[in-house]
Amino acid sequence: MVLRLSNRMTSLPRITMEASRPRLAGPDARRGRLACTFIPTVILLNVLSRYSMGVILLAVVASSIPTSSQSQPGGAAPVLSVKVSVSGASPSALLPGDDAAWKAIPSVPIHLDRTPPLYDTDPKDDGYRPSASMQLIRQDTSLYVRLTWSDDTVDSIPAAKTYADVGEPEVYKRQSEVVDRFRDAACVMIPRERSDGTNPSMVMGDVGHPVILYYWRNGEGFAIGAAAGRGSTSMSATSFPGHASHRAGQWRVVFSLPMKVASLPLALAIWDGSKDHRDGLKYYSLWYEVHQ
Amino acid sequence: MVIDLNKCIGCHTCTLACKKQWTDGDGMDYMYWNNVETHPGTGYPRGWHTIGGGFDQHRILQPSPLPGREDYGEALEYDYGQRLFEGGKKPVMPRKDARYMPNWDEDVGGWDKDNPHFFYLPRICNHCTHPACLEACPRKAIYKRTEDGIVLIDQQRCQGYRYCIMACPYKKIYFNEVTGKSEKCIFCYPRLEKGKVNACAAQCPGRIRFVGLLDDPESPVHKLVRKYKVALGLFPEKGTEPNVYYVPPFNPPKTGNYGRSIIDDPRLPLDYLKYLFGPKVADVIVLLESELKRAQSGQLSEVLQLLIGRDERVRYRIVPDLIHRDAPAEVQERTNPNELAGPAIEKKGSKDLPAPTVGHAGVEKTDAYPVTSAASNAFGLGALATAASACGSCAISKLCSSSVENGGLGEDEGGPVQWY
Repeated sequence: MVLRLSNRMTSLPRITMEASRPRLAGPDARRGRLACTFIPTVILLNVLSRYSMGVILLAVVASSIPTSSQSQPGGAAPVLSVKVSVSGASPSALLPGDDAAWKAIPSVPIHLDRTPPLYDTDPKDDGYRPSASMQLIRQDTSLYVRLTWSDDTVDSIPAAKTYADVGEPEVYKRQSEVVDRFRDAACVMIPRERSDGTNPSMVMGDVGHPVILYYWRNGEGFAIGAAAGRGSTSMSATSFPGHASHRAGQWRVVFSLPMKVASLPLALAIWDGSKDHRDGLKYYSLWYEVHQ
Repeated sequence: MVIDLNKCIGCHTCTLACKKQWTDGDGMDYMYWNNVETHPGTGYPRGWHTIGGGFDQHRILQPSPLPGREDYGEALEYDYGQRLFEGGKKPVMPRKDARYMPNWDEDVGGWDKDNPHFFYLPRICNHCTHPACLEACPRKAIYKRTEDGIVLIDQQRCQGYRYCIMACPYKKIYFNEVTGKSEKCIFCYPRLEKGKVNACAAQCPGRIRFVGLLDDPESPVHKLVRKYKVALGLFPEKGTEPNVYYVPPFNPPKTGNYGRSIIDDPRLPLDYLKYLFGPKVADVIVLLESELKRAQSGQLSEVLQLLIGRDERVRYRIVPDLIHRDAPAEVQERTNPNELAGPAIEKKGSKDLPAPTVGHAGVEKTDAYPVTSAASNAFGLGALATAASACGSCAISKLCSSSVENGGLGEDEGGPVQWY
């Protein structure tokens, strides 16, 4: 297996993987494949993310201009730093995402990569990466994240139909109309706490570094989840303010997060329903350090 | 469970019993945890037995594409309103033309050398020993109960990713669009835990189903599978080791009242039976044919006597004690009688039912058959804790609004409901 950092697409680091996997049998095969593909990735991402707090690698641009990444001598962690703009616009104006305040600040291009396949049977990476950008506005103790990315298709699981009829409407049930499609979605991941100054694992945090997840799921809305490692995600019934719209082949989603500290790390993920994205099958970014 | 295909008449009573008991909720319109399909045929969902799933010979998962709604068919809604309430004269018709549905090719079967043939294949989740669905779930939402092997989906953990549906070679898991979760046959575990047999078995007019533990020497399932070796799993090459077994059709008559062995005079193509049940089916047919000859000569055939299934004592053996004997300590601890306390299960027909947070814990004293009172305690209590903890663990949200006891179709003490 070869893990390689490449700056091929943008100035930001890109993780690619070339794996030659031994074929094992049964459950061992699953674990084996996990060991071959998942764990090195986790280790790499952990290394990338955890050292990021201790070593400032990127120049922080004075205004809200996105920064580029540099590599620490020795090839260590890239850190992406973004400065937040402050706005006096009202929350109701910021949420739809088309207020003048958004137009007044530049966009930070985000480099997304697709998660490596965990199983032999996972869909192959077609090489496509959506063009994505992020804008950040802080207002009091709220951080507004406007995430924009290219997606030609609007994918959702349509709301189940209820047939009303004369007589006994209660006998008609909501039906499952579509059972083989997946929805577009996006998520902003932040650490639950930063007690030891390290960022959580990119793979949904880890036991010592749990994360909070701000999900948007097309057709379902905005909801908060939590995780402490892959497969541990639990969703709460708590929603949070947000707004999503799709125009001209682009999703524009505004997340409203609480931000009571001077700086905050966040990472992003985007699911494309038309590519059967769900679970860990998604586009993701590395940690961004957001500060004022 | 063992299902004797020689006795299935394709009446779908099992399907309706299951549908009424478990899957008449929102988003469940297309779900048939139990269905009966004609074979040779496409099945339900369409082409389930050809699209993949299960493990390959190296025990690597082989997920199939997800069946689309078109492979299940749309639930037909009829325009009753115009005919019944608006004075319309048009016949009641579906709102849409049907393009597929359960049992779409009913009784079509095959045609081989001017020999029309078909048989019915009732199907439920096979509660496999090595469930591909369980292996495929990244959420670890699917688990196999230690005490009885029933495979369930934890509805709290399930995120509706549907890897399980792709992995299942039998396509017996369904996605509920309303809840966003996957759901499947729960082997009527709330009924079993009360000493009641599965709804599909309880309602079967043909008495084709045998229920018991495979490892219980007294159970009909053990006898048919292990002792007499006349029942086989479906698609054994898929590697999941299904725990629903079938007694293959072996002697369908061509004309008149008496048939001949499929080996000697194949009305049903032996190759098709081998396709479904593996190469051992030929041995089973020979064995069953010899038993039939023995019975016809006036001698006693134990296996045929068992397959006749004269009454429930023969067909079912639900003895919770046996389950709990080998269950881990935490399961056996659930036999604490103090856990019996709990509200009674709501009777069917009651609206505005309470949320299913505590209702599953309700256990009523029933005339459970054939469980003794002691066994009933053991199983009933297992039921209590298990069901209580499983309120969110499987698709039984309607458990609180449906009488678990009545088998879905209003089963009386006298037996299955009469359909005529």
